Amino acid sequence: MDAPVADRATDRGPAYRRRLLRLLATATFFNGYDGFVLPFVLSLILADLGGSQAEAGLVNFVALSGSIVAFFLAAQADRIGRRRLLLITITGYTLATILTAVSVNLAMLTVAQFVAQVFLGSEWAVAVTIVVEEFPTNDRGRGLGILIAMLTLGGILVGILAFAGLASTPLSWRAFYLVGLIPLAVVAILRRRMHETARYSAVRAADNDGVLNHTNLLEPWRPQYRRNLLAVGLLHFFRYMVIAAAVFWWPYYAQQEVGMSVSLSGLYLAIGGLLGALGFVVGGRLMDRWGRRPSFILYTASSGFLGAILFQVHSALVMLPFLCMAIFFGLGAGCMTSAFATEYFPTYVRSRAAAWCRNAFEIPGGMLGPFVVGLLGDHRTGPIGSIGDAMTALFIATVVPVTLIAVLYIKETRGLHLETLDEAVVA
Amino acid sequence: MKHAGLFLVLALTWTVLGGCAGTDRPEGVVERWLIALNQGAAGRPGQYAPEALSERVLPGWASKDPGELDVIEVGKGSVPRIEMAPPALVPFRVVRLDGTTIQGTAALVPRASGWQVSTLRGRLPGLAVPSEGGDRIGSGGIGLWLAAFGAAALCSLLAVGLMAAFGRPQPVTPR
Repeated sequence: MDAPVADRATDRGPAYRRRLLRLLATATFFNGYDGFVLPFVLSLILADLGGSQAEAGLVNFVALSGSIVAFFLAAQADRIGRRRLLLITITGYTLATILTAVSVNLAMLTVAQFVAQVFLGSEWAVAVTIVVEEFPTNDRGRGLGILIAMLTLGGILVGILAFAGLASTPLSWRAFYLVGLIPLAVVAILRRRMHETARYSAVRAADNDGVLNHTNLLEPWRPQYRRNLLAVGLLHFFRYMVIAAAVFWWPYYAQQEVGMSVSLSGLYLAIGGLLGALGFVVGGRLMDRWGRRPSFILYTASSGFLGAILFQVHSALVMLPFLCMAIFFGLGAGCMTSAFATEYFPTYVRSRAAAWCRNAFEIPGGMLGPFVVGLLGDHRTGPIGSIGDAMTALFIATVVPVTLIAVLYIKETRGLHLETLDEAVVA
Repeated sequence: MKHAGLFLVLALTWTVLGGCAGTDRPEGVVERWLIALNQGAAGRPGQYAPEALSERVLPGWASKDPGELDVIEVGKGSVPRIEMAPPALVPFRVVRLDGTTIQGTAALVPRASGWQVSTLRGRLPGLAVPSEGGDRIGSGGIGLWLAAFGAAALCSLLAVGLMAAFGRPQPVTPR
């Protein structure tokens, strides 16, 4: 398909895109790293700063709620620009990470982690928007796949550092947070070598009369966009509800219901995570080749089937291939949902639409899923009394509506030139 | 649309009420005790068992780092009717980081605050952890799978209802 004139005019070339992707990937890698540190070192923190399991749950809940508040910051990318917001978020989460590392009590740590989550949630949304806007139509899926794989790889680094004995150093859990200083170097480079996205600049320049509303948070709910926003939002909600629950409860299931050791389940998770990262990259390629919608339906159906079986497997040997494939398809679908959340919407409202999908639909789904499974599957008080059965039930209950929404309401955006959307709204 | 919303509220209410129902499994108490023990200094195993029993499973637990128990496994126990008074018996298995395996049966008695581990016994016939062929603590059965498909239908209806409420596609949409 020939690119429109605007598409060619906004193309800064492959060398710039490679450099940009390296920088965004590094920032996203540490986003993934920081997101995984807290659950990993929470027990060490409690032992050091004092606190019960109930307080640990509260710390985690308050910190996660920062991801919802991130909505207000992420939406600012349509007002102040993608580049500026990216710099703010990376600086913000690095500073919050430093604050976490020097926390003297649980309250200080909770506040620092809440602030960190606000910036981490925003960084993710703006990084996806930048890739969508700077990459040509036939290469966008690959860019998104690589970017999103970095989230998982960042999480794996936490496990590697733990395996290497970082927790046994005199700094204990604080050492994990000090590693999070590295993104400051990325900021130093970004400031000089990264430009505002060409599409954002072009839309800002074209909107001389100020016809477009760049500030109203409810702009994505205008009649032109709201149907797409709702469809993509519901997709995010149901999908992430089960993905977050599976990620949260699998170690518990493996250890308490299958009888695996902590070390073996950690090893399985590392192997599955590496393959999961491959799922993003393959998914990104498939998106460009087959299209977003068929790739998403394939990934969703596969992850639902494999996930439901995974939580019924009671043999450690049989568990590994199912775990790897479930992670491959389950997490891999993330690059397609990221495309849906951005490619449907014109540039002037794209970041706010992505923020709605991510922070207002996906994150609440991610908080509700683990809660419901814990409530139903609790070994002491849950009506089901089995985390494995509760997880399988959740897979069944959510994969069906996700697939239905994708089939009925999601339109294909492969080959779509974003300029056609921008020209329609500016005209 | 109105009905879909009502169904969702009812389903959520059922879930929450179900979760808050009066179930109290002794197996869950044994598991929480062992997990609390594995928290080291941050744990509070005293809520579930006397200090002497905690020391038997993990000597010096209060001064240890979290994660000293590499494996914690609890199986389905034998739970008597409370009025009949005999203790509930729950099989468990723990493996310490140094490789020591402790396998036995926890005996629990009912207290005002719920089940409490009272003594530890050796392995008993007919009681085993799942990795050794014993039963799992809980299981959903056919009713659960039917409920799951019902919930799937309900969520699908809700999504379709919401989309219908938001009208037909507007001009600025991809093909």
